[in-house]
Amino acid sequence: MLFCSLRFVQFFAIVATVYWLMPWRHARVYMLLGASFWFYRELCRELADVRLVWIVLGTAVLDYWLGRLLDVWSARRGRLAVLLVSIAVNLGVLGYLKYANFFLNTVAQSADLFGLHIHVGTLRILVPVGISFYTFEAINYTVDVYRRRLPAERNLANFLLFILFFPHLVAGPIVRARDFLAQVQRPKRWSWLRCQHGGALILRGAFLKLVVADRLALLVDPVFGEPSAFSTGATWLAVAAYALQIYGDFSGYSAMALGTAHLLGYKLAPNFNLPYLAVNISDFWRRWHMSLSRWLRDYLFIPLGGSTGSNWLTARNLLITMALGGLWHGASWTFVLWGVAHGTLLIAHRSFRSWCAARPRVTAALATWLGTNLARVATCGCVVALWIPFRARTLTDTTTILQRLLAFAPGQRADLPEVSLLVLFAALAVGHVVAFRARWQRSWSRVPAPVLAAAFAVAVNAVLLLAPPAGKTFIYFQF
Amino acid sequence: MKTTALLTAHHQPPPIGKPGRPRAARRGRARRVILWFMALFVASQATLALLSTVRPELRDPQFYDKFDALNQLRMEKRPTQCVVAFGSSRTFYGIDALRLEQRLEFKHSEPVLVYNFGQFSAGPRLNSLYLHRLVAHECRPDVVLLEVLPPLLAQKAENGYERHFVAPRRFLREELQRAARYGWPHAELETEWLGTVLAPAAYLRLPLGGRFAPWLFPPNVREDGCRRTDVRGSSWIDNGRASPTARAEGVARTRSEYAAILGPDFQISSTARLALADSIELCRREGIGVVLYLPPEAPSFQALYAPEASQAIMVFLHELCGRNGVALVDGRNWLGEEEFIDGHHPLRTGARLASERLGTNVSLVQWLRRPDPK
Repeated sequence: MLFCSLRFVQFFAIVATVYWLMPWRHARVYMLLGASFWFYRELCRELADVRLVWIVLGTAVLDYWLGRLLDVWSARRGRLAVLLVSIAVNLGVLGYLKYANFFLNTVAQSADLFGLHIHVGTLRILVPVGISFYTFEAINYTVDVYRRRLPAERNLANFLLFILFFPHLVAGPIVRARDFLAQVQRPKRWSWLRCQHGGALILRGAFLKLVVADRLALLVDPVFGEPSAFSTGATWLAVAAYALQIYGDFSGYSAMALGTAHLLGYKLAPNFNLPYLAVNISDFWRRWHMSLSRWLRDYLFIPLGGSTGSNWLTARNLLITMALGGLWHGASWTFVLWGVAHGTLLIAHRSFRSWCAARPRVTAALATWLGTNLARVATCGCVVALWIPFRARTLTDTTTILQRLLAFAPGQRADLPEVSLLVLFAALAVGHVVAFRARWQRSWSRVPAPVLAAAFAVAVNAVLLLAPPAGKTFIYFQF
Repeated sequence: MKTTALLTAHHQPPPIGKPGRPRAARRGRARRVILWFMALFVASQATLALLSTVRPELRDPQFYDKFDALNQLRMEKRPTQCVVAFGSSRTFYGIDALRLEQRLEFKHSEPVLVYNFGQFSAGPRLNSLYLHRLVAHECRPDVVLLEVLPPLLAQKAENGYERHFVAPRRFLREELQRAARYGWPHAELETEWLGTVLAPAAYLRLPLGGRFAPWLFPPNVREDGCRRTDVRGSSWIDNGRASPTARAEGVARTRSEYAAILGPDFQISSTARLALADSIELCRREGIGVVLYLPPEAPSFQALYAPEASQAIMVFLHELCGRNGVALVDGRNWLGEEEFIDGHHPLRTGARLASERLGTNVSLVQWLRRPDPK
């Protein structure tokens, strides 16, 4: 049941109507919880196996009780043990379900390198949708309770809603327990303003997902599916298109999640902030998948020591954080390569920044309009290039694509009208420029209501008309 | 920035007008925006729904593009006999209607019009629906050349092919009952039809897009293929495309699509049987001549048939033709392997050869020479 499906529209219309007609705050929580459970069960039924819903429910209930234990237990060692049990169970379930076959294949391939042939087979494992997301949310809860930043939630329904809340359940954003649980307890009233804002977010998300991402996928999938068959020109187009596809797909989904939550009276943290306008790689990670990068910073990078130690220790911590961040995205060495490459870029950026700090002229040059935009282009170029191993099926495919980018190779042309691509690129560029300039918010407020409504109606029709034939699953669903 | 501050900062509605404007005013504006939006959206869908009713080519351009072209040709040429070929992509690519027309005119000595009404993914069900629609639109051909695609007669193909590739939104309201008899689920037909009325921007986006902005859509989904044909509705596959690799891939693809259907457990589907019978009955009732046509197949495709399947198909067709007095033209062995791109879609030269041969077929010519039953 994708966000962009008719079935979800029907589901949400019923849920939102019943929700706002209910006058009792506690009843609304139970109602949302029931709806979220049903949503996830139907999603599991469509994508994998309906029984997987019990895994997320089981680990959530366990974390709830471990959190209560952390609250009442004062002994430091005991509390640490409880925390470690929570982390071990959550990561253990995630590790087994998502990475067991990856680990076995890696052992077999490593043994092959030494001339040992080990037959390991493949475990038949079904991965619950969104396991990477809700596992991180559960860990942030127990860690925050352990650190006494947050009292343990006493109401099981409230806690389960934090884990299972359907707008963010399967593909984020990764919600902080202290932000969400505070909202569960707050009374909510219907607001036309919130409805307008939520609707606008959903519309933006639907445009990015259906018109941009799904359309670009028609070009990207064949090229990355068989890179050796396509020409250099088609490969360049596909690489550029994928950078926009993944942005459209993920930011579109996040916008729809935020809008949907908004319509129910919940505010989730935004996940994207014009990432392709970043001036350096650190800035990029403050704009791309912000909920994940903050989680990695707070629960992995800082506990490892952060940047408080020597340069070598900082570099080590960055590499470990980004490598694991890459692995979080998928059980494949291509993701690890992607993460390590980003870690390397972050280390390089830190060194460059230190070098510039001793050279005020260079710093001043970078701060000019030309310097800033050159920095943006360079950052964007690095990020786009690193999407290649992220998207490629294997390291061999990554190499093939890089070869075709760097040296002319004949082959098939791109399977999408070039005019369509140019229009998409132009629309995204204009959208970025408009969003970047804060003036548009003031202009928005001066437009008469009927005109604004007409613009929304045109936009909705454009999304409906331009959506490609068959809906594609969100890229980040695989996580 | 702290997460809480980030939350509130990014989710404050944008300020309206001068700072300090009362929240009530902003609420009122938001309500007006939403209500205006709902009214305008409903109005836009109602307009599109009305448009698609008044101009049915917005619902099914693949039929109406060819229908308009056929009507135009009949008015211009005023033939004494009009032959319309119904069928799948095998007909679309495999009948060179202009060449067939020239051949028939040579035999008949009077003006003849041949039009290729072939449609992608058409089988007995869609052929029957389109034939009924053509007659309902007061366009009665003198002879119908009706393709019989043996795999689409199979029981196993009932839930695939036509049902998978033919979108129910192409059917008119009055056709839904017939489509349900031919196997389309009633609920799906009603839902799609309702969708085209309530949300035409979503349900009719491919025909609308294909008509007004085809450059925005990939060629395989645009539904404007029937506009890119020759003057007689035919198209062709250039011989140059048949490289050994392309042919091998095509044959492999064909095998994966059809081999399982043509096994020893082949049975004629009841809905296919019904659809063919309906087509023949309609022609008989309207005084339209009908010739069933088995299009050419390469030896590699013919090898896919289990002997039991071949026998079942021919027994069925002979019984059907014998009972209804309908001629059957068996063109399966007319072309060699090298005349096909994938074992069952002829290349341009193959289509010409098959059409020439069809033009000399006794059954077809006899229908052109019969007295006008009206």
